[in-house]
Amino acid sequence: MSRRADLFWRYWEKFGILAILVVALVVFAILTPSILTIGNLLNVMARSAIVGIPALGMTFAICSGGFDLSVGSIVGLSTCVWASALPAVGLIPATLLTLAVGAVCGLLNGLAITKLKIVTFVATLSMSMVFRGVALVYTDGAKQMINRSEHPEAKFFSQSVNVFGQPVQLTQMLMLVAVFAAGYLLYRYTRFGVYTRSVGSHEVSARTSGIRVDRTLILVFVLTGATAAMSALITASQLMQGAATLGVGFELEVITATILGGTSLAGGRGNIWGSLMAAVMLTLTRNGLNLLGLSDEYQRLAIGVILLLALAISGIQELTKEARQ
Amino acid sequence: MRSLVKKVDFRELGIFYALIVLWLVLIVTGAPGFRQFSTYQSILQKASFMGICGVGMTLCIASKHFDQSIGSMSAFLGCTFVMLLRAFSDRPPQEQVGVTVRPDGVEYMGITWTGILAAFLITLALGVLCGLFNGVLVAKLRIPAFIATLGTLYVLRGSAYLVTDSQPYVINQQITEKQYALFKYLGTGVILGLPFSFWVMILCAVAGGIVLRKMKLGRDTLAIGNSVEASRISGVNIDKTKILVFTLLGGFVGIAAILNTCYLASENAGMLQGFEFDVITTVVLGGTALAGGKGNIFNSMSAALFFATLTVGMPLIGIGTYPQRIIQGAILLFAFSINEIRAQMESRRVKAGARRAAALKSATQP
Repeated sequence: MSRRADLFWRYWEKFGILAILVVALVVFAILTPSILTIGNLLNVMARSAIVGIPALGMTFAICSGGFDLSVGSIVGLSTCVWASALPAVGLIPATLLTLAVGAVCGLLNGLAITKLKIVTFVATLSMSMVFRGVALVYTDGAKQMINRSEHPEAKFFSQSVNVFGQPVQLTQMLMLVAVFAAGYLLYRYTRFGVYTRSVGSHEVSARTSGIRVDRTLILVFVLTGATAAMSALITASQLMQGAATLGVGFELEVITATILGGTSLAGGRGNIWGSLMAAVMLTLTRNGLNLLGLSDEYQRLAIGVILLLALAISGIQELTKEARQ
Repeated sequence: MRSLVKKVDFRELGIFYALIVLWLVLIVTGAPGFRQFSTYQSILQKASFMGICGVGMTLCIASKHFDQSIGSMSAFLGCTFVMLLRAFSDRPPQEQVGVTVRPDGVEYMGITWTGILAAFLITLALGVLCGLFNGVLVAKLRIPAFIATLGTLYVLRGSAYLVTDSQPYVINQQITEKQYALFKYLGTGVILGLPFSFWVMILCAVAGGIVLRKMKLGRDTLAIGNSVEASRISGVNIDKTKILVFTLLGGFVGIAAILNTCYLASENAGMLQGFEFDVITTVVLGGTALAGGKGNIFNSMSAALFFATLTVGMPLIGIGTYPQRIIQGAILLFAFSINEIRAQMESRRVKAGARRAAALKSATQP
């Protein structure tokens, strides 16, 4: 029995999220057959970039034993920065500036965690309030609209290109693929990735074996902030506006994607591939619920339920592991 | 008197002194509104909702846990309360509106006193159930509290939209004039010059204080906050304690939600977003360390007053809504770093003491 359970969990870790994705697809295909059109599926995959890219950053954060609850606020602030800077300085400088703002937000998170010694989730929680407040003060609560005819280049991040007769949001898809490929290499083959994992699995022993824990953690949060800003670029480009209220509760989706993907809350063990799959799965769920005509609040409810289920599954997994030992 | 002085450690009351100083400064500098009693009444009113939840949250944080879901929970409970009042109205829905008219001209549906009592009790019970659910997630499934309650935050918020079907509701359409007077009293009534809900907060704080200082549950809470392993070895039922702490918090949130609904005389599913930040901020400002194992209800209440003074006072002295968010975040960061730094200094002192004792021991032993 215990060996069979063992085998089950091993396969679950590898293919569980794939199974969930297939189940979700089948369920939605029965409820709303229109979800199965190739155009829609390509659209879902491209749109997964919005959740997927910050989920990569979050995978590093959770793997390092931390947490980032300020992702939503960073997205809000970044859209404001991009939308207000773009008409003034052009696409590329505005984009670089936005990424820098995201990175600086992450840096502040990292400094609060390592230098003020505040527990990560609390530090990022308080920081999220500060970031949101800064965005509100900066815009004075007003939406930053981008004029479509004056600045057609602002559509860059959400452009549709015809591929084999289907409109595909190519930039987003390429960004998603590039970020995850880079993330995978970073996680698997670089010193930074190894350090992140060892800090997450045991901070004290990482410190005693000479790893610069503080620097690693700060870099992890800078990475998370930057990925949040990238996601903000896509959102702002899609809506052609920036608003301080964008991304409220967005961290829920990002965290759900990461945990559903199999990254362990205990730290030290991330699953990059799983986060990508989970991001696609969540986007599919939202898309399906949208097609069923459910409003945003109910979609959030569904995502909350999915998060609790994912947590329950990983909790049960830990419990069976403990029982075995 | 002497024993009282001995029992209360005055060094621990930092936030209480800060509150007094803040009020004195505001009065002396003549900040607008702060020489009127009504301002303080509205501060007490605002503080009481935070304070009532703060009692439960103090226990929760003292056990080294954390509940992010209480904002959504109070919205959900408030919505359920209003919907229950509607459901218990003794006329069928299609005849409800326009059937009877009160002397003040408001149309009402008519609900029995039993119906009102049932609505109160069911709402409280639901609060307890929500807390129980959080507790089971944390204790039985071993999900870290802050992420488990992040999940319930969204589930409860969604449920609030679900029960009200995204519609706002006003209380006074359900009830007769006498009943309206009751709700008005619960919401904005005044006893001895102080708001009714403030007295409820004092009652809750006393009850919480008794639980924390005198009862086994309180000792167990502090014990698991200090060290789960040590308390497991000394026979504390850890899962039970955790579940009870969250359940209690749910009950307090239920009380606060009902009072808040009566205060506003209306309810909609989107309200009280971010309320959990306020409550957590006050509890941590009150010196209850996130590291667990410490908690002081009186300080949490003082901090609730302090915080309410800021939220009521900032608009009065001309600070807009948006900068308030930054200030609140900064206060939260400050509170956390102060507590963490103090905890670290303390642990360093303890360690140094232990080292000295060990050195002494080895020196005296032949």
